[in-house]
Amino acid sequence: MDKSAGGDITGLLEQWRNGDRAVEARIVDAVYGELHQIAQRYARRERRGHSLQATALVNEAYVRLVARRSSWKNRAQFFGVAATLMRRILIDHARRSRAGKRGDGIAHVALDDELLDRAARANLSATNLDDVIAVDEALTRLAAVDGRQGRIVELRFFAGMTSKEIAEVLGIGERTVDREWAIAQAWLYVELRKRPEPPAA
Amino acid sequence: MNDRTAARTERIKELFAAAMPLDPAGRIAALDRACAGDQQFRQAVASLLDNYDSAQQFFAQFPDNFARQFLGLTAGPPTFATGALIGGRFRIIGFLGAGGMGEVYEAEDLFLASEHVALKTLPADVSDDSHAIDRLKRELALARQVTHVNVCRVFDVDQHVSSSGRPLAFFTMELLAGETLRARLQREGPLSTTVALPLVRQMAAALTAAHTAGVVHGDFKPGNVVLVPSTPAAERLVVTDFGLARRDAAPDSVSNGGAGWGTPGYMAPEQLAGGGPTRASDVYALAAVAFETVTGKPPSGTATVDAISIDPSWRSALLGGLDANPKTRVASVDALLRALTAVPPTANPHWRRAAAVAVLSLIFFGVLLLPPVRARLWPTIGGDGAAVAGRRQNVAVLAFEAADRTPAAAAYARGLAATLTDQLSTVTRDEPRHLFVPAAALLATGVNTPVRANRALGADVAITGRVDRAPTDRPGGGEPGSRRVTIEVHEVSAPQSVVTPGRHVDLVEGKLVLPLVSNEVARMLAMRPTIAVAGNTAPSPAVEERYIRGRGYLEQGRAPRIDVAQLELAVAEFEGAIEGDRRFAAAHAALGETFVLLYEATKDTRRNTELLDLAEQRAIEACRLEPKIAHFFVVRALAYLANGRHSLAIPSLEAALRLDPDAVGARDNLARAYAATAQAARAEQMLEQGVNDRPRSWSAHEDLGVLRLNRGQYRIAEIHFLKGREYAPDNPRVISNLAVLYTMTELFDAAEQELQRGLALTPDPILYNNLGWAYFYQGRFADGVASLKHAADLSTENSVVLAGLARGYRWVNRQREARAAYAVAISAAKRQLSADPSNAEVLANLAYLYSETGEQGEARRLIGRALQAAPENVRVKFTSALVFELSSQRQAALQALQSAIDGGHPKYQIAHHPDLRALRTDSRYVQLIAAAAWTR
Repeated sequence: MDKSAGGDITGLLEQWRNGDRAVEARIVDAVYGELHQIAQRYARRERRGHSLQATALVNEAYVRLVARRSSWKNRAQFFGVAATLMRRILIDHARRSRAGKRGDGIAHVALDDELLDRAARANLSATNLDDVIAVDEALTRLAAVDGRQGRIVELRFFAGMTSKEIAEVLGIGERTVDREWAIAQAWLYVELRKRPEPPAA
Repeated sequence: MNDRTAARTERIKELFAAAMPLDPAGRIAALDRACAGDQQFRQAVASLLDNYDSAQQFFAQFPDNFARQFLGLTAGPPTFATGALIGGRFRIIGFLGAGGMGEVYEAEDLFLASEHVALKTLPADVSDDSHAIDRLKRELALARQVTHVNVCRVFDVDQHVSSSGRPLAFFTMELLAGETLRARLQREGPLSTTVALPLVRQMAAALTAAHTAGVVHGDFKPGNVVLVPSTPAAERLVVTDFGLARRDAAPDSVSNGGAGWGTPGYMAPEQLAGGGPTRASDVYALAAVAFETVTGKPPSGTATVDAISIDPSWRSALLGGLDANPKTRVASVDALLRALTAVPPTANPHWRRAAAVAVLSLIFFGVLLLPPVRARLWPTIGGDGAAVAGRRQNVAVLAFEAADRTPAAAAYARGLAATLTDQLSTVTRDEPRHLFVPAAALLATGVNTPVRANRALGADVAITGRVDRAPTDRPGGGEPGSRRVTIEVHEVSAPQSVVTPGRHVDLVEGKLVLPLVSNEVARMLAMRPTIAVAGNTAPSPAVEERYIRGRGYLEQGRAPRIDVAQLELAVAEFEGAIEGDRRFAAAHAALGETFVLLYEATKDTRRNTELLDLAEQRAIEACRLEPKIAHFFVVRALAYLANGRHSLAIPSLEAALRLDPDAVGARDNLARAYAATAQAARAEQMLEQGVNDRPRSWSAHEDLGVLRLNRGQYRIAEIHFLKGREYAPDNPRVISNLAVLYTMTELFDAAEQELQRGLALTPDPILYNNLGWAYFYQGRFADGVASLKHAADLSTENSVVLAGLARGYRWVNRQREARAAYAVAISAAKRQLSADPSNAEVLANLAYLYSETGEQGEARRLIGRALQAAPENVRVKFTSALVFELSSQRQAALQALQSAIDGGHPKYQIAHHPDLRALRTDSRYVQLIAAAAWTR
């Protein structure tokens, strides 16, 4: 992504903030591009003897895209966009990790595999990954039934936002968020239990 | 969603929210009231309520904000922008990250010739508190007195007043370009004690320097240890945040009632109980960090130390350092370090490592280090396990021939023989009359005929096979997927080899191949029981085909030498098989095994431990899917053994042996892993049991013989090697080991005779290498050079062989050839060193090469490092004697020799090594030898 695209992002974010949900996919793609570019740069730097840290990578993306753009200061709202992105990155990673192979045709994933692997090793176990995938699939079904609930789960589960932050992003009351999150958990869990259990070995 | 559904959903939500806070009885009452006979509605809400508690538990298993942690998005935007001028002195270059206390930036110090520093901000409560700032300044002033290469330098504490008028305190320190130990451990997992020791040494040096200056760290943990690459071969370890413990309110830190801050897991019990940080609590923290470095997790009390499998000297040192009572705890950081490096009395340094540095190479010991492993297809059902009288028959399934000459067809034929071996091996537990020779052993020894299988591998029965297109008059014959497998059984232990007439198995597309073929072979061998296939876990025919072909590529890629192209084909096949059936455990395991081999093939040039992570993941998946197959646990262990993580491998190997005492690669690798973790007694016990259980197994005798040889117990070693020769007279490993023994006992003629016999059978580079050295020790340099030239031609990559050849050229004064060979050997040794920078034997070997090529300065530097890294290693001591002698330091050379003799170094090298010819005329040497007692 070049500099002018950075300018585009600011505009897109503005549109998104003003209620144009249609631009979301484009924002996500743009953030992906940024992450990819930074990852490449870090990868090159690593070859010169510096070490690569996923934290530094994403922080840098965050700083570039968010903190430095005056029209886009609200951290909570950034996470609103980032939730979709994080969900996608996480699920792509989990799927590939489960499949035990790298780059199995999920074409839009541009991030360095190794990076994702490292990040995941730091925080998630293999069993968790299976559950994350199952939650993702159930969440897609939930979002089809109840869009707002789906959004809340995404913000909460995949972006780790607090009820307060979610309330702010969605423009609803904090108690509503709590209530919806509670019922969504129960609903998702019922869905997850429908998973075929692997036969006992 | 239409309006009616929406209204209904809304009602469900309301009722759920109303009933959720109630107890079970209250929930039922609320549902009864609200549902009024609408059972479907009631059911919907009740199901959600019933599952709510489990749901909460389920979601609680994910760490809070796990996705944000995953992506590292836990910090807010940095306070300072790039280019900002802070405190009128520092220009911000970039944001580095957010740590426990605040943010960290790279900044330029405009007062000090634009030196780059790390600038760390302090939390707001500190910034607002002038007393806190003053105290911090005093603490930092104290910490600044510690000047040590392993201690991060701290410069200044200052305040920045922002445009809003609010002060923000910050301090500056040395800028370190590296990663923290915490990040390293997260990335690479636990380190071996060999890799960890130099790191712990540097940590101890930092803490000792501080303690000497009267400074206590107080919050020593992996996050405060930074690894900075310095030279290509080494890292500088730097401990940060000295004396800041009282202020460091990191998210993972806790307050202990105002006395200070620390991090649970690294905090001594008395510190957790409210005591301030002391030297003793730093000792505890160092022991905790050392523990985490080799296990991946911080300890919780001494009980966890007891529970892990680790080098005994580490175990006792860590137990002493983690003592809950500060009075009985190891007294100082230095004492803890000494305890860590103490050599326990049971450990015999000879047996610690079968290294390539040994001038007379024991490479055959290494060939099976990556053991010939087999994968098994399906769990076997049936078999009453009745014991059968009489001895077991060794069965070798030779690689099948393919009528079709394409590489894919050849791989399929070879893979079919290998999978057949796997499959038939699974029944040997219940049908103990047969023991199958692993497919890889056949390839490694170049066995391709029934008679050679008998002579080289002790096989009583050999099975040969051939894969053709099915004849057109058979059902499905002539169709693309149809095949005919023809099998012959050869009784080769009888004086006259007996061949049963070939039997045909016709295979048609859409049917599984292996059950048909293995049942036929079982019938021919009169094996009992026959094989039943568990239908629900068997793969589909298409998946089976890919798997079998993959196995063929894997075997071809494994031996006689690792072939990356074949292995990559194997990866593609196994991935395809897994794609077709994700529950196909054998394919996961085989993929894991292939990754380990790929790592082996590239480890000298790249440290791609990622391959080992992938291998580990595949093996774990295979074990999860089929937890009863011993081989899958062996594969998992191989992923750990490949880069020396012996402690991790041990539990997997033990599990494999419990499942199947004959599991290929389990017993020998477990013995080696015990030996490498200084559990020599257990290693010995393992190998002795192997011989007792399988008295006719040549490999069991060889393994035990090598252990005896490495301990200098030559007589017992010879008995085992001769047993090995009795059962497998033509096996190159058997021949080589026996010749090595003869060389070491100075029976050079016998060694030469044995090696000549072996070379007449197989032109093997290791045999040539060992023959060359047998000549060198006798002073027959021209013969030695000729033999090593053969070895080098056959083994162009082997740095030990190349170094030997270079030495030969030097001794016969063929300088031009020597120069070229040394250049190759040195660059190979350098590659080895960059992959394993703290390996003392590699360092010593490189030092020797430098001293031979006249670079005495470099040689002395490296040998110093080697001796420092492994002060007890006798091979390193002996090599240092060579280096000193070649740099004309006779006195040092004599001392090193004395030290090597005291450590039990075998006499033959000292008495016959060509580079010690001049030294042996020295009267001091004569005295030294006269006093030496080679007791064993």
